[in-house]
Order: sequence, then C-alpha cells, then structure tokens
Amino acid sequence: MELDDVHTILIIGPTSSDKNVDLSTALYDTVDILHQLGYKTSIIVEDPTSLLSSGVFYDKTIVEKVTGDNVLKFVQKYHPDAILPTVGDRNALGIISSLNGKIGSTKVLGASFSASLATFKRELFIKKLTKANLPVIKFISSDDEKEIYSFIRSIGFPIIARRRYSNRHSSGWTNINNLFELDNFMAMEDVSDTRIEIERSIRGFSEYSFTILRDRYDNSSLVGTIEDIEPIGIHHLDSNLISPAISLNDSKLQRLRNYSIKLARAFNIVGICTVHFAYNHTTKESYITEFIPRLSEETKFLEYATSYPIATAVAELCLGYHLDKLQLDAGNYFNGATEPFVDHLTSRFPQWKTPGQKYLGPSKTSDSSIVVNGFSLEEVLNKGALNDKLNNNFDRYNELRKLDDDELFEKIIHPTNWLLDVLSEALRRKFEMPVLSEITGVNVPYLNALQNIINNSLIIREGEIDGKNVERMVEMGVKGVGHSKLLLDSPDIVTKTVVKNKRAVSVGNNTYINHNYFVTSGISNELELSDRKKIIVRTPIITSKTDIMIRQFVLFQLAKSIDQNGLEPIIIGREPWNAPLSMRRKVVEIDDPHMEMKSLGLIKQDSVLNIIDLSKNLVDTEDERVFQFSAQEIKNIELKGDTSVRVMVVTDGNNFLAPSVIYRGKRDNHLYEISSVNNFMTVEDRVEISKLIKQELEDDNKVDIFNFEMVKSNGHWLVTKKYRGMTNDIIRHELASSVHVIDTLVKLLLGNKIDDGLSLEKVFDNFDEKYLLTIDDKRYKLLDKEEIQEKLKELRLKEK
Amino acid sequence: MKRYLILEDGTVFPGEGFGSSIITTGQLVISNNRTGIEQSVTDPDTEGQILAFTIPSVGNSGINRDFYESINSQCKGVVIGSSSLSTVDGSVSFENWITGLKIPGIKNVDVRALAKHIAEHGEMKASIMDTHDEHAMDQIKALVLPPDLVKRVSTRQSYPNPNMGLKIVIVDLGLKYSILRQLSYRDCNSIIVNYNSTAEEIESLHPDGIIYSNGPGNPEDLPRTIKTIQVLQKNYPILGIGLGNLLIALANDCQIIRLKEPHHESSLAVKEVASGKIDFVNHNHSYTLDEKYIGGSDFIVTNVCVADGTIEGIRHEYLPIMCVLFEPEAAPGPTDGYYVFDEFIDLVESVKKQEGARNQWN
Repeated sequence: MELDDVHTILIIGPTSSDKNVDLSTALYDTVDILHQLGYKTSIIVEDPTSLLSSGVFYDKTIVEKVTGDNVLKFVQKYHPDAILPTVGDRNALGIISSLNGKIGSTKVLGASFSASLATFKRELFIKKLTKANLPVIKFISSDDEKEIYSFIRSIGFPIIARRRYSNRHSSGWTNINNLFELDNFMAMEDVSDTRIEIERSIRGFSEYSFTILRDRYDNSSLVGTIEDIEPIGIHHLDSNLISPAISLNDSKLQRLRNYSIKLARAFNIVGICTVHFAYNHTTKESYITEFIPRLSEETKFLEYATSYPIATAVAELCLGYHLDKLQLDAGNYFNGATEPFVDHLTSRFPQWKTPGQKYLGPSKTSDSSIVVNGFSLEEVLNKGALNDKLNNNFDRYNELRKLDDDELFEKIIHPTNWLLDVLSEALRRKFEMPVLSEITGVNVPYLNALQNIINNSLIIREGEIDGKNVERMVEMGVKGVGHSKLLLDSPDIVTKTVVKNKRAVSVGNNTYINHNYFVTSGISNELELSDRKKIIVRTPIITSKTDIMIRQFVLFQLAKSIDQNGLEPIIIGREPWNAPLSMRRKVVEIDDPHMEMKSLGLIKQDSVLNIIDLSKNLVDTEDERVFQFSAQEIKNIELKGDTSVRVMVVTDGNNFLAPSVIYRGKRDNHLYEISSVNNFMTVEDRVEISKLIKQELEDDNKVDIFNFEMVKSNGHWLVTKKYRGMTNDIIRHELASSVHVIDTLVKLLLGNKIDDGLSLEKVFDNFDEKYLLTIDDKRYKLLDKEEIQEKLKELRLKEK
Repeated sequence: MKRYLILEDGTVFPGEGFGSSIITTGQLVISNNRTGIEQSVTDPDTEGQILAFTIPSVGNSGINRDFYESINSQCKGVVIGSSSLSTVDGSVSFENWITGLKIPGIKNVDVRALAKHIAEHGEMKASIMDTHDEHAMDQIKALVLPPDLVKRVSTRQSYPNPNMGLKIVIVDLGLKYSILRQLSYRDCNSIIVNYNSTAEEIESLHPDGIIYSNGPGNPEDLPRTIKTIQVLQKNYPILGIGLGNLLIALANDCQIIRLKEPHHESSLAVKEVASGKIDFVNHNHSYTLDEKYIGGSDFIVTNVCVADGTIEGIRHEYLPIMCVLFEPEAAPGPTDGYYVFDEFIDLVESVKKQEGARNQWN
C-alpha cells in the first residue's frame, strides 16, 4: 500500500536556465496526479509557467531560487511529510545530498541521500558499484608511481590520464595506448608535485541508456532503452538518439537490463533510474558511466517514444504504489507493469540556435531537439538529421563538396554537429565504411543506412525517377530534400504515405491509449477522428528553451479551450508536442516533419472550422479559415518612459475586450512588472487607454488579437508599439488574467460576439485574486490583493 | 522481387521478397519479441509457422549462432517491416542469414497493419507467394496444416546431456536448448526422450524429476503423452513448461482455451499470486488454461499475466507438480523467470529427502 504517513509533500522544481532541459510537462503531470490522489503539495520553483496555467491543483507555490537554503527554510517552517526531488534537475539532487541530517522526520522520496550524493561524488559512485559487483570504470588518483603502474597492470591499456595539481586544477585528459606513451607521460613532470588520475579509456565505445521504474516492493520494469548514434565522448544530448536501442542483441540487452535493476536496488531507488552504459561491441566490455535517479531529458523522450506516462507513474511509485496498480487519474487504474514495446523507431536529433558547425565534446552545446518517428533507420534519418527543411542539409552538402579529401578527413577526426553530413560526403567519395566506423565510433549499420539514403537520393537528384524507386524512397522517408511536391504528385506515393498511431504494441496494452500519430509509409491509415468539428493548430519548429516553454503553454491553453468549447483539437507540427497527460487523451496530435498532411486529405475539409497557425510565415494566405497567431509588428515608436502598460486585446471586429493589463515601472534601477492590474486602474486610465485602443482598431473588422504597449508621458498614455497576433507576453497575460485571452479568442473564432456598448468595467473585466510580480525579469512573486495594492501605491508614488 | 503475403481470408500484403524464393504456407504468428531473432527462428515452437516480426530495423544487432534454440531453423517463413543491411558486430546480415537458412522472407510489409488485422480476426494460415491471383487463394484455402507438429520436432532417439547432479528426464515436445542450458548451470544430469516415450521407458531411466518441455501445436493432438503423464505424476516431481503445462493440465481434468489475443512477446509481466512479485518473462503461447476448470481440479494458480489476467502458472496441491505457461528459460527475453528452475530443483531435492527418510523408516 502507499505510504501511510505522507500527506504533505514539498516538490523541488527545476531551476530556470536556458541550458537545462525542459521538465515543465513532467512537473505538471506530477503535481496533477498528486493533487488527484489527495496529497497536499507545495512547490519550490523558479519559473512557475507550466503550473500557473492550471492553478487549481497545488496548495503553495514558492517562487524562489531553488537552493538548499530555501528548501531547508521551508521544511523548518512548514514541516512537510516528504520532499520529492525527482522533478527537479541535477540541482535538486545536490540539494538532497546537502540536507542529510538536517530535515528531521521529513522523508526524501525517490532518490535517497546516498543515490543523490553518488551522482556527484565519483569515489562514492565507484565504491558503491564495485561493492554491488557492477561494472564500473576503475579509477585511481595517486602520487605513488608504483601504485599507478600496478593499477595499470590490472586494468590494461588503453587508458586516459591527467594530472591534478595541488591548487585543485587539472590538466586535460591524455590518451595513452601503451607502456611507451605512459613512460613519456610520467616523465613529463615530477610526480610528487601532483596527483595523477588514471582510468580505463572508453573512447569510441557505444553509448546506451536504460530507464527502469522500480516500486518499493522491488518490482522493476525496463521502461525504455536509448542508443546514441555518436560514441561515448560526445555529450548524450548532443548526440543523435534512437529508441529503442536496436543494436543490442538479446544477451547484451538482458545483461544491461539486469545491471540497471541491480543498481537501483543497490541505492534503493524507488521511482525512476536512468543508467548510462558504455559498450564495446568488439570486446563485449560494458561499463556503467552514470545514473540519473530522477526525471530527465531521457524520460521525456521516452514518454514521446513509448506513450508510457512516466512522470505520473514515478510520482505514484515514490509514494509507495504498486507497479501494477497505478492510476492515470484518481480511480482510473492502469497496468504500469509493462515494458513498452514499440514497433517503430523514435529519434531525437539535437538542434542549435545558430547555424554553422559546432565541435562536439563531453559538454552539452545544443539548444533544443527535434523528435521524429519512423519504421526504419533510413526513415528517421531522412526525417530528422538529414531533413533539409530543418537543418539546411543542402547547404551543408554544397559546402562539404568543396573540401578536398584531407580537409574532409579532418572533419571526420574532429566531430562536429555536421558529422552525419560529413560521413555522407565521405561515403559519396567511397571512403571505406569500416575505417569510418573505426575512426568515428559510429556503428556500421548507421553508415550503411546513410549509404542506402545516398544511393536513392542521388537518383532523385538526377531526375531519374521511376515508380519503383519512388516507392522505396517514400518508405525511407526521403522527402525533405526539396522534392516533396515531386513525390506527392505521384498517385502511387499518396497511397503509400499514411498516418500511424504512436503507440506501444503489446498484449492488453490499451490502458493508456493516446491520439498521437506520425506520418509514415504503409498500406493503411490509423487516424481516427471524432464526429466533432475541428480546429487545427499548426506548430512551428522550436529552437530555444524559452520558445519551448511558450509553445508548451500556448498549445496547452489552445487545446484545452478548443476541447472545452466542444470541438476536436488537432495539433499538426514538424515535431511532437510534449502535452500533459490529461491533455494527451483529448487532443489529436500528428507529427508531420515533411508537412504532408494537407496533401493526404485524411481530415475532411468541411469538418475543419479554423486553422490556427503558430508559424511566422503563412503558406496558405488565401484560406480564410487560417488565423495567424504569431506576432506581426504594426507600429514601433522609439519612446521610452519609466511607466508603461502592455495591453492584450481581443476583438470580434466591432467590439473589444482587454482582459489583461500589465503594469511596468522602472524605479531605482529595478524593473517591476505586475499583472494584471485591471482591477486597480483608475477611471481616467481606463477611459484613456480604451480610447487609444478604439482608435488603433478603427480599420480592423475581423476577429483578432492585438498587443499594445503604451508609455505614460506627461501624465498621458501614448501607443508606442502595436502587434497583431500573439507576442511572448501571452504567458504573462494568461497567467495574470482570470479571463483567458486564448479561450476568448477561440470563442470569437467560433462566431461568438462581444456585446455592444460594454461598460469600461466590463471591457477591462478581471476577477483575479492572485497577482504576479516580476522584478528584473527574473524574480517572480505571487501577491494577493492587498499586497499588490500596496506595491502599486508604492510604485505610483515614485512615478516621475 | 515483388512478393505477396496472402492471408487465408484473402487479405494481401505486398512486399519485397528475400531469402529463398520458394512458395511457403503456414500458420501466421505475430511476434512482438524485441530481440532474439535467432532464438525465434530456431525455436521448435515455431515449427510450421510464418513469423511476422513487428520489431523495426531487424538484424541490426547481429546474428549469433550461440543463441540457436535448435540445430536448424524451424519456421517456414519470415515477414518484416525494415531490416538492417549490416550488423553492429560484423556478423552476417539478417537477409543473408535467412537466405543461408533457405527460408523465404518478405520485407517492407506494413507489419503494423498486419498485426492489427490478426488481432481483429485471429491467427490464420498465410502464404508467401509471387502472385496474388485466385489460384493462389484457392491453394492456401485448400491447405490443411499438419496436426503432427510435435512429432516433427521431437527427438527420435534419446540422448544425454551429462552432468553430475540430479537426473532429470526431459520429454521433448519441441525442446529449446536454453532449457538444457539452465539445467546445465544447475549441474543436472539430463536425458532427453521422445514425446511418445512410455511411462515404463521413462521410469527405466530412474529419473529424480521429469520436465515436459515447450512445443508447437494443439495439446489435444497428443493423447498418448497425456496418458503417460497420468501414470508418471504419481511417482515423480514434474515441471511443465508451455505445451508441457497444457498437457499436464489436460491429464488432470482441466480444459484449455485458445487465447483471443495470443501471447508472443519476449517481455510480458507475470505476477506471483502468493507474493505479488512481478517478473518480466518471455511468452510464446496461443492457448491457456480455462479458469472455470481450475477450481474443480487439485491445482492452484501460482502465476497470472498482469496485462490480461491469463493463467500463467499452476501447482498441484498434493503432488510435486509445478507448471508455467511462460518460458522461464527466457531466450529471448528478461531472465527474471530463471527462479522456476531453482524451485523445481528444490522440489526434486525435497522429494528425494522425503523418500530417503521414508526408506530409512521402512
């Protein structure tokens, strides 16, 4: 049974940083299920965006820097029964390991003290794994030459070595392949000055990660496996990932599975644990390189890949639920005791914000990722890493063609994010596959897949298309090279391109069905739509974490609103949307990397009421149903003032509403923003602002959203900026306003009208009880009515 | 070369042929095994079957002869979506391997659609052919699947797998080598005998315990084996695996039923009823025990499938008989089920001890 003595839980949320992975959906799902199961939850979080969008299911949000001190302060003040660190990032585990002995009877759920500490302390990690008889890379740090040589005799070559100086700095790692190189390394400096650190070299090993769920009764299931196309040495999240791991045969897979379970048992991890392995297919050596006892980018990716509700399951397991008796929502049971088997491949390809080549190494440099699905390696490569629409592979191809063989070889030796393009070019020039594999550590089947793609792409580039080849190309997902139209014009191809459900296939595995689909090839479609009228939302590619947050938020609000208004939301995009679990069951989502849905004609045109497009550039401006949602600048006057407001306005073409006004004041070198201040605006302000909006909207007669920025100058408001569509402010407006702008927009798109002659009270109507204060764009605070009044008063007093 | 997978109900799945170019017909089985192509293709359970693998990029992990479950391939054809042209460990590619085994194969098939069709309409006969005209349909409809699948795969002559431990007689109904591997790990001195061996023949080997192995086909086609069990079970500890389990159940007035959703999956959870412990094990069976008859028998249910509640293990209340429907030897699949062999060895040893004590008294 679940833990009897846990009723109140403090959740440590993720820190807010562009480098972190996005765990907002995991956080949402966790808080959602805990609320439904009747727990009282408090969350310490830096960016509460994902939670505030449905602020009904948590009891206390502390928007503070996520530090050990702040967590400790909370624990000492409120004495929660337990702390849950699994939704936080690495920082949360650091906090847990620092709290040992300081939090009294408060329990730590999921990752134990020792597990948290071992993710930081290499010595402890090695000691614990060695004791549990698990394969770990042997490591020595010593200043005794004899000890060093004796250690190397026991582990053999190749090794990596570095010097650690007394000032705690260290040299870079050096590869040492034999005794001669070792003697040279040792002779370089006097050993007595420094310590020498040595470990077995795993350069060129393949990298795998296994994620297991474990309940407190010691039942474990392997929830997913991932393999990296690039070898160890390149950061896992800068590598191209494939799930499930297809290059492990049965004995290798079971061995690594057993190691993962044994590791979770050794640290008594209840909940989730992702274990990373280095594997050498020639020598069959395997080592555990790290483990992650929390939700992470891997688990987010596996949720995409397998549809298994990982975040929800982990929250329940941490609270003592039995693996086979988990709940999707209160009372809705599902069998968590399953090792989801997917019959297709899901791949994650990293993305960089800026073009150009980036050298890859052990530190993460990528900004975001694209996830694609397919039934073969060729298909996922063509949709993802080699999709010209996403990566400008044609430009890369043209640039690489100019290199001579030596220059190309240089690029093979020093891997960049263009590695797959470089390898393709090398294969075009008939470089030998085993040699390329040996140098780059990329396994031969991937090179063979690239070769297979090249063989077919060359034919299409030369215009020698015959029916048979086109069919093969569709199977291989070759469409992203600028030939989509060519392929789609062929009737054979239209029948070969289909939409399949992104589900796991297994006996009785229908308890967590979703409506996620991907465009692929085959002979039958699986797209199932309801009889409801539909609104299609088209989403663009996202390349930064901030954009991901906005996209997550906007899609969630849109889908929720479309569903609540009795329509069927269909989200179509080049990459999947990581929807919260509660929404995943309501929304139809289609991953369409080559934007083919329109040509397939699977959604009856007369059933589509509107198409909301979130991209910057519309492709079908002639279609009246298309509503462009992203911002277009209409006015921009350079006028700065210390007091300004930002107003989001929805209009039906005649009348308008301004449900959210953000007050912005620059005082004493700090920037304060309060949303929404509708309830505290003076009558004069209401009259003036409303008049300005009316003037600005005079020529518009369609349903639309507008954003205005108005600056107070000499006691009067002036419109300085005007945007049509949604700006990034949407999050603040939506969070701040109890009248949801997105929902209002959907209603207006459905033909509802704003009443004529509304009073100013009604135009600016807002029923908020909590208000968000941001200081210098970083610190968030939730204020109640009295606090905000006081703050506003203080800011207005200082108004120049 | 364009080839077609034609189902008994007339549905046609086009694809590209590889391997042997002969026309083949058999029972079509959808395999959700995520690894272990070698084990599946050489598993005697798959005798007479055309195996459709739902796993993507088949063969990427390489082909390893050490994983064979019998000396030769057993299945009559393979159906796949995509295959890998080369292997990660430099071993022979999947397609070349299938060609070497002289099995016909068909690739680039919409296996998802095929699996869905079979899930809706049940397992049926199928053919891999070069055409899909009426004549081909007639051929497949006219074909009767042989009822003597066990006879085809069972050893004709007894042979030993010597060791120094307990003497276990294995009745070969389609024995997988991995069962022998597990017994060897436990030092068992095994003798493998034909499925039709009589009780006297088996008793003459003086076994400490008897295993009725896994195997293909319908257990009701083996009445003689059932009779032998009825004689032997009174005197020897018995372990039934897969088909062996079904035969033991039939020998004890239980009934079997065909599963609506057959279990062909390398990692499916079973729960030990007594402890609630969950293990992930390999399943490869289309039949199970009819729950209605268990109550009236002397068996108790020990394991159930978590996903659909199917009975996966039984134990006799008075006699030393234990049975599992899943494949505890894994191959392929997680190794969680190995404990079944340990429990059987414990059972055999405790029976031996009791007998020793009784002999001392007498």
